Amino acid sequence: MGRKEENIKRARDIMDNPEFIRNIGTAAHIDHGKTTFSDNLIAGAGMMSEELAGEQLVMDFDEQEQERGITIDSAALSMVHEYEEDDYLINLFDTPGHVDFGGDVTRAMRAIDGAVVVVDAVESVMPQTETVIRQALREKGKPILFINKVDRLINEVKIGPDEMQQKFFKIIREVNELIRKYAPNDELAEEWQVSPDDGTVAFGSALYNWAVSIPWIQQTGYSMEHVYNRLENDEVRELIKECPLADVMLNIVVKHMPPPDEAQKYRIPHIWRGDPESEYGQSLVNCDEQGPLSFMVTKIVMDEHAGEVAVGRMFSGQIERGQQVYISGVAGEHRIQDVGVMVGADRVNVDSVDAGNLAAVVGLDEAIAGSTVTEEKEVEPFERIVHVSEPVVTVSVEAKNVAELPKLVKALRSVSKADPSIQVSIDQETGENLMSGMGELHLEVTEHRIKEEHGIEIQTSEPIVVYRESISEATPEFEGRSPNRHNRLFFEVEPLEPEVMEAIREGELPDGKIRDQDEKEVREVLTELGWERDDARSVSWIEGTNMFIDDTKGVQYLYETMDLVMEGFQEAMDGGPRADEPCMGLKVRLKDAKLHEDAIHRGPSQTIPAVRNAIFGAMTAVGVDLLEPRQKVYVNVPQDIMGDVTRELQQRRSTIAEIESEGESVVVNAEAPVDEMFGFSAAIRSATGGRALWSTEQAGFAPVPANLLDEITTEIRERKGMKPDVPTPVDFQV
Amino acid sequence: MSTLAVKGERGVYVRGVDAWPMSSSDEGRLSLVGLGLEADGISLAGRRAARGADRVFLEAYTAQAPQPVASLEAMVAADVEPLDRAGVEDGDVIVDAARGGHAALLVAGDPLSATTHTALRLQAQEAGIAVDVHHAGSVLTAAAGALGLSHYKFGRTTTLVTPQDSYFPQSPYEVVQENRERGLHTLVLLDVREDGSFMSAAEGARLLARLEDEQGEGALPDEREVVAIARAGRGDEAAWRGSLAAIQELDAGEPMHSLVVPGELSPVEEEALAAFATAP
Repeated sequence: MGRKEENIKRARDIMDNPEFIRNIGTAAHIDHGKTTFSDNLIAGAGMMSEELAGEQLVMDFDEQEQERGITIDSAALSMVHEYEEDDYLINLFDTPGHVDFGGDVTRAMRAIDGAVVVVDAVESVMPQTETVIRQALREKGKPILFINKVDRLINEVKIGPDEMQQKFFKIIREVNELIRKYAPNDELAEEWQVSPDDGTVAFGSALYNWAVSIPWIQQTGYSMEHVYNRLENDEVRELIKECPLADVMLNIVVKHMPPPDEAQKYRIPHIWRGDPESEYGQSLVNCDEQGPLSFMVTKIVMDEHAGEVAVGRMFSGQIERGQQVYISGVAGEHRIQDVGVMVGADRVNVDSVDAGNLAAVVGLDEAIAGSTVTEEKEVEPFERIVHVSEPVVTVSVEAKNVAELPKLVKALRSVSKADPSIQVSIDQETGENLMSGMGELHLEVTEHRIKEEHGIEIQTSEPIVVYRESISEATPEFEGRSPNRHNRLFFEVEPLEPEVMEAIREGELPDGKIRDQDEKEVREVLTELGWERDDARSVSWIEGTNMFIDDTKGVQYLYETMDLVMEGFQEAMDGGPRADEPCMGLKVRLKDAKLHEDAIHRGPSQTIPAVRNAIFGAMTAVGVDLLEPRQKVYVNVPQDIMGDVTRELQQRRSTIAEIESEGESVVVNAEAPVDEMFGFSAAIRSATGGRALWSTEQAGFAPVPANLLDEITTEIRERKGMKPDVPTPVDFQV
Repeated sequence: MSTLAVKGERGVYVRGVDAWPMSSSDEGRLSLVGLGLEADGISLAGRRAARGADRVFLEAYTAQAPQPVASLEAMVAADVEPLDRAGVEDGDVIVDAARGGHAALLVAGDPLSATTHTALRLQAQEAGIAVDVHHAGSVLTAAAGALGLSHYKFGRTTTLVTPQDSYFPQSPYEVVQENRERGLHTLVLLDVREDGSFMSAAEGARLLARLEDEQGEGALPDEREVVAIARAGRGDEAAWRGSLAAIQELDAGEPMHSLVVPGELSPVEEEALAAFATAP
């Protein structure tokens, strides 16, 4: 039996004993070494050959990720680690390191009970370090800290032992401040502070495969000074033997990360919206393998033979072959074809997987990343399938070979299931297949996946920015009439408070129709954010970051027309009056309605246009803003060529917020419209001879500058084949 | 106004003496002309108005015209332009044609009853255009007449809409229920769908049964007596009287169909219904 096979056998022996299981993830700013860290843990645990580790990035098993050197998708795998003579099963969920792929991170964080935060010793705490710590704590995941690339401090930055210690303390202090800031409660804010003394902080080099912690030093007798000397004398080989990364870190994980049965006790009431006192809730809280099934899908991976495989965390019950299950948000039953565990890119079939474990399941064709799988129908899922992902860039996708079009349509559907932040649609006018995502890179990565995983040669258009339409002041009431004039709907529109938009984005509010069972929660969230009770009670639909409020009382026939009114509202939110771009941040109020006596005279073809006329009439009365997506840009560049970077940025309508020196290099923090950032990658490479490191982060939306408003509006309207003139209220008076 | 004398067997009919003068305006004239229910159901005055128009339109989406377009064209001696829903509702095509001239809109049944074109009338009037209306037979009165039911004893009329995902109005059930509570009859009109197909009497009855299932107030149990009438006002008009369950199985033939849910019947109504409607 090879070591891998042996590990699988050992893993199976532990799988039904939660006490010996840990579910963890890693989190870091881009390029801080998270993937190398994960790989060396896996290698050290015997899940891949040691020679390969550090070279082959197992977690980045998408070839493109290796090419790019960043992790794009959350994969997950199990490994076995012996600690104080017991075997432990460590399930490692990898998380993407690029914030463009935000949804994936949140999902992975929900599946894990703790995260190893990897911070580059030289670069220290960076903006995305803060983001990932916030995301972990929001899901009540416990953080521990690994300070990476310590060798760089000595070999490149050439600092002495004292200075090095100061540097570590600074990083630890900053991380602890962030933990305090984002902890879900005061108690955890203190309890989860990391400290070298108790072993929740370790130092080392993921690339060179070593790490030390204070408990390790105490246990083995090696001192910090010893480690420092080894590094200075270039004796890394010895150091790897004395302080192997996997042993040091997995000891910490076993000791400091909670087992699933313990973690679910305090995490379930926080991450799951159902009633923890219910039978189902109790099974989740107790991680009961005898209880009803609850499996949360964190990722869909493509398997050459099995097709789509749903990977995720078992929170309750048991999943087994042949089981009939339901998928949240999907009608009908599904039959489990195969159940397995993941070992790197390999899926190993097992008979069943218990609560508390990682599982890889075949047969859930309708599942998407984020689905909850249960045996009972209509159980509260772990993640609301919130479609608030806010795509900022669109391309049209064409199969090079026309005969492959059906295959392309299927592939597009599949990629959007694996990554719900990818939206696919068909242009009604041109019949083109459109794919929208969170950024240029996000789409490039997805294109690559379509080519590689689905084997289709495709061609894409130049990326186009997706703008937003909104208003900046409350509108007067506007009467919208149906084409037959027999129905009148009266609407007002106001800007939605930024806090409420944030709550929608964070999934604190449901989307779509507000069901009876959601009403209480919606009311609580909104009154907390300062809304009047009456308003909070009257929310009847949330579409994107737009809300529908029904202010009417006792309007005759409105109840049976309401679904059509909602359809009209959704249509209006899908494309606003200025340029048919999606609306955002609107509070749309129905003030009154006068409807025809007979149902036949207020059907879809009457009611939907009446609603649209009222909303658009109101919006155009105060003027419709066009908002453009923006990005934060961080460029790390040697001081002597900083001018090349700032020049390149200035051509792109950017604002440079800050320039920080870090030794020989500077970090330029800027913000620019996404529209201007297309092609930045190539431009910056040629401007700096490839010596600049850069990353981006979404920075929300801001109004298009007044001097460009008309130009951009005309451009969009022309592209969409719309009349050149922007409509005014008169155009919505029937 | 030219005077035209027509000599008939019983004397001389002179137009312009027997007819009321038409209102007129420099801005133009619009005639709303009912076609009634059967071929040639148009009034003489309506036909005269249409014959004098520069352009003649036909509203063809709320009901089937009682005769083919070619036959209408021969009758009014002009091209007849059918308009779809958007064309009529938008109103601009018709009002523009009337402006400075004379346009006529032919409407199946009566122009201001089941589907009211009042909005168009208002729109024209606002534009300073004179509007004259020529009424004609409508299912609203013909159904009652054909069945021998007293028009005075009908409550609110309602229409059954083909159920769609986001629109399945239940108010027709409430209308029947309210009317029955007051002892009144209910005329139940049946959907003309966007694709031009018509809801049949059997389909309508099944829908009533479904509404009973969903509402469960007992207004329309299976044994409730319902009357189906097909092609009201036409030579091949037919009527059936039976339980709601029986009407669900009825083949009433060519469109258009309507249903009546009777309230309390007077002795004369009872006799008439027995004579005019057969068992399904």
